[in-house]
Amino acid sequence: MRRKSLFSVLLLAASSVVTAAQSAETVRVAVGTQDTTINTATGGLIIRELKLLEKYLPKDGKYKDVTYDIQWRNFTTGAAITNDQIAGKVDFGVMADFPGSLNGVAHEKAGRKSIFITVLQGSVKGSGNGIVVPSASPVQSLSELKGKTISVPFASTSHGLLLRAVKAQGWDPEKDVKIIAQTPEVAGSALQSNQIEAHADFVPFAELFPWRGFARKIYDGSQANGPTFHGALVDAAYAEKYPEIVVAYLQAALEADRLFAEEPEKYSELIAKVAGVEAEVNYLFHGPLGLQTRDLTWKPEYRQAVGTSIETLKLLKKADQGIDIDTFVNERFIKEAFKASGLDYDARLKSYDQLALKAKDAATGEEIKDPKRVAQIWVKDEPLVRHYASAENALKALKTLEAEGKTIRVLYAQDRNSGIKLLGAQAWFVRSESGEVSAFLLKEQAEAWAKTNGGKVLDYPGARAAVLASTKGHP
Amino acid sequence: MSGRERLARPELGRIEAVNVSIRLGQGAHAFEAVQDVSIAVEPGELVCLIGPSGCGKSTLLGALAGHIAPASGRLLVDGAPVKGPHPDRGIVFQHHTLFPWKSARDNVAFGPKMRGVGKADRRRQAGEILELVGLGDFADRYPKQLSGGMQQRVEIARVLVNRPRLLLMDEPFGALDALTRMMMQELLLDIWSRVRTTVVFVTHDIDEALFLADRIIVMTPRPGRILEEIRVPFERPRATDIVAAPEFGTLKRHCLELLRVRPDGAPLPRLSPLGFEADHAPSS
Amino acid sequence: MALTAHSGASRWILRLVSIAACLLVWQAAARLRLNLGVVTFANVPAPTDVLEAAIALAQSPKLLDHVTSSLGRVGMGYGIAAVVGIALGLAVGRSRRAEDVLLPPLEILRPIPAVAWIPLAVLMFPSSEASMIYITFIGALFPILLNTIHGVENVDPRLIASAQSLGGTRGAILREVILPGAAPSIVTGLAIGMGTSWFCLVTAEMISGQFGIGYYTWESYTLQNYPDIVVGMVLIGLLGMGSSVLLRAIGTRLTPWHSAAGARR
Repeated sequence: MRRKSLFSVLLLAASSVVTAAQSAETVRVAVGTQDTTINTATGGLIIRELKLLEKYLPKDGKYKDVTYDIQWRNFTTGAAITNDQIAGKVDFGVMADFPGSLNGVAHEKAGRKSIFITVLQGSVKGSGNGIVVPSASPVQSLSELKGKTISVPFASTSHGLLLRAVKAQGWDPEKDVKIIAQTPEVAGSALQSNQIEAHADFVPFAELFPWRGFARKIYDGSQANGPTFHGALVDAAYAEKYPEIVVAYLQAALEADRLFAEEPEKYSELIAKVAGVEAEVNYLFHGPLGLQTRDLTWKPEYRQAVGTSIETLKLLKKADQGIDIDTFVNERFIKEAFKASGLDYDARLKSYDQLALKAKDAATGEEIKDPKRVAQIWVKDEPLVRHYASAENALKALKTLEAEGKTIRVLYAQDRNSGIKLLGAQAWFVRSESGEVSAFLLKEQAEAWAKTNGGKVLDYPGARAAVLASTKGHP
Repeated sequence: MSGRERLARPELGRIEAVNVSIRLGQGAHAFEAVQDVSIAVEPGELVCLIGPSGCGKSTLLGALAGHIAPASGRLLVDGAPVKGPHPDRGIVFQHHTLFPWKSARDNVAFGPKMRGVGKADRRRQAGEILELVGLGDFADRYPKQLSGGMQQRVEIARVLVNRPRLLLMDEPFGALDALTRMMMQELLLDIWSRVRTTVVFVTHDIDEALFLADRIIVMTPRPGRILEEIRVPFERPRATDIVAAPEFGTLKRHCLELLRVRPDGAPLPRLSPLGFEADHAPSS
Repeated sequence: MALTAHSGASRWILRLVSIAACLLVWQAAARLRLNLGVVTFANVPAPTDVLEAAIALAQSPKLLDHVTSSLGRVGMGYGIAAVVGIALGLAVGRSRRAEDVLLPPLEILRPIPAVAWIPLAVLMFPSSEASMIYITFIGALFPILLNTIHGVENVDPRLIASAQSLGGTRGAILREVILPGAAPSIVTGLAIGMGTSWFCLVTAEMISGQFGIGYYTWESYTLQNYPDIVVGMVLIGLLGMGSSVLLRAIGTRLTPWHSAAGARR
């Protein structure tokens, strides 16, 4: 009797050890990031730096004894991430609409499937892509580029923008303009040495190059009115096997988004430290009323962007098959993530607002109401950006700040027409008789405004001087 | 042969070496190759330098050619000091230095070309000299298409076309087989009878020296000094059967005596007229 | 005689069979998506896919533009490298002072890979074509330079001495003795330089893209068009090898005295 019970105890012990051994598996979670493409930050850089994946990855149920092998790999292009995904080295990848659809096609060609699980940041109007010219160039708008050479990273979302913009001008992309391929790294040098006449690029280069002083932005993607975004993809088989992990990744992205909204300056600095893109440019995108909006919902415009991209690529004869948008774009996991994080997906889906700015004017103390007139100043050594209700308030404040011996890092102003955030130093202004200052991206836009509403067209130094002159005699 | 062809300039080609010493090598490895040598050679004389390996005879030849500068002493040709290479002092090496990319004719025409002689003229001159050395039919062959003896003949022709005052020869037949060597020795005497020039001939071979020379200068082992000068009494033109003459044997024995070095150490490696050891056959 | 002819033919048959066998193995491995752990063929395009892509390229109107663009860039860069490389090589080989002045900076530049040159190339030159030509130039320069120096230094000093004793001036010796004497080495350098110039082409054509085989290869990578990438690679390899072989053949023709002497293939 005793021997039998001893034997069955041993058997039980042995079998439980075996079962335990079976369930102690290692699951790899490999994420391909694009640190320099800063609008993917909530799907990559922020999650990695703040260890948010470790926070959200499931540890119960079938994941009770799982060891996670979290791997982070950084790339400079979406195509490189796709390559690694096909080779099975990366599970999640972040990239824009164009490389994203190529990712879908590539997976199908390899006999697999990838799914686009969320948007991370984008603009339904098209900001984020832009066209720049070398600083020394006399060109002030796209129409002056007829017959010239424009370089663009091949098959990127900015390539799509360029074609859209060219078409909107009524030009033939084969004849009226010469489009050549050039990666952002090479284009940077080429702009500095005046080797190319114009360059179109995606986030953040159309703003970064001007920030670094060797280029001038002459076209914002929103002028072509076509959506653009960066989002995240995952291998479909992986998602089927580990849906909880996919949701966990998305919850991490949602938290990154929330943190960024709460402290945009802090995370802009974090990106600067890790990726080398200056905080002022990061804030331009990620801050309130930023150039793009962080958005983890599949707005119909963004779905459409994926569809348009594959059609454009087919037309360029760069893709030979399409994908089924309805199965490629997958809302299931992001909806679950919203729910798990206690957020309302449908409400966010319907909202087209920019990241709101709830602040008081730093100079006058009044509530800031009109987002299209907002201006901001980031003072050196200050952790937070100062907000102003109007450009003239900000320009006046400049004088005071300088009198106090402070240097400023950047002045932002919102475009009066489109509401996009501009780098003040490159913007055009119209100063009315009453002293009201409005900001515009393009000189021709400023001139048009002045024609209808009166006022003088000025560049940034001119606007500063004018405001300065008007405040003389006022303490 | 016409009088013009006996282009003898018997009054040119006088050599005077006065207390010439030559040092070779760098720094710690420097050594004296030739020590305090004084020689006088009459114009048109054929003198043989013999001595054990590494004794400096080729070095002295190189100094006469102008490729090596003496450390001290005076080296004069027709009263003028030797200051660098010149076609008046042509040199023939043991392994030919013909330009492999030129035909025999073009090789020989090189000297005249350097003097600015027109193409047709220099090719003709080259042809004539090649006839002289018996290679008239081979003028358009390339060096690699010629036998060893023929190559040396072109080598000699190339120097002679410049009508040099001195013909300096560094064991020119040493790499040839015995039969060819004998033939070349006869040929040399034949040419020399027509194109009279001073000849300084370096060799190991006592038979060769006795056959060719008016005078034999024997050098000591390194550092080379003049041991003895021997007058060779045989009449010209020399016939090959002088080997049998009793005087030949006596002189040869005498030379052997002089050359029998007290063997203190291994024989030294050969020096070349350009100043470094182990003169070798070209490798390509 | 009959024996040699037979062994010549059977050698060729062996070579062709070997290539065919490799292609068959590759085809099987790719189709079966063979995974050997250390290396996997799961995503490698099969020879049949590559052939399809090659045919498509051959029929494309852009092929001529691609090939001529690349040939132009390699041709210019290589041509300049040949002139500069041989000239500098002659100077360095002949003159100790030239060696001391020229060689140290060149030796420092030598190990820099073509990719690393891209940003500087773009900054330094007024046009992107010039930047690309610079990269193919720098790729070809060093083999040509170093082989020229080697050839010059290995000219038999006795030949030079003889030339001097025959009345040759420094210039004449350079033309008549040094140059032909170093010619076989120079030809080797030129052949190698042609190959390396082609290798650098893909890198060069990253600078600015519209036409060029390197650009075509790069574009295919961006579009995940794997068969096209292989086509581009093979095309560059063939053109590189072909031009190198052609150069060597021309060189051998120009140096007949060298090849026959002791030649053993």
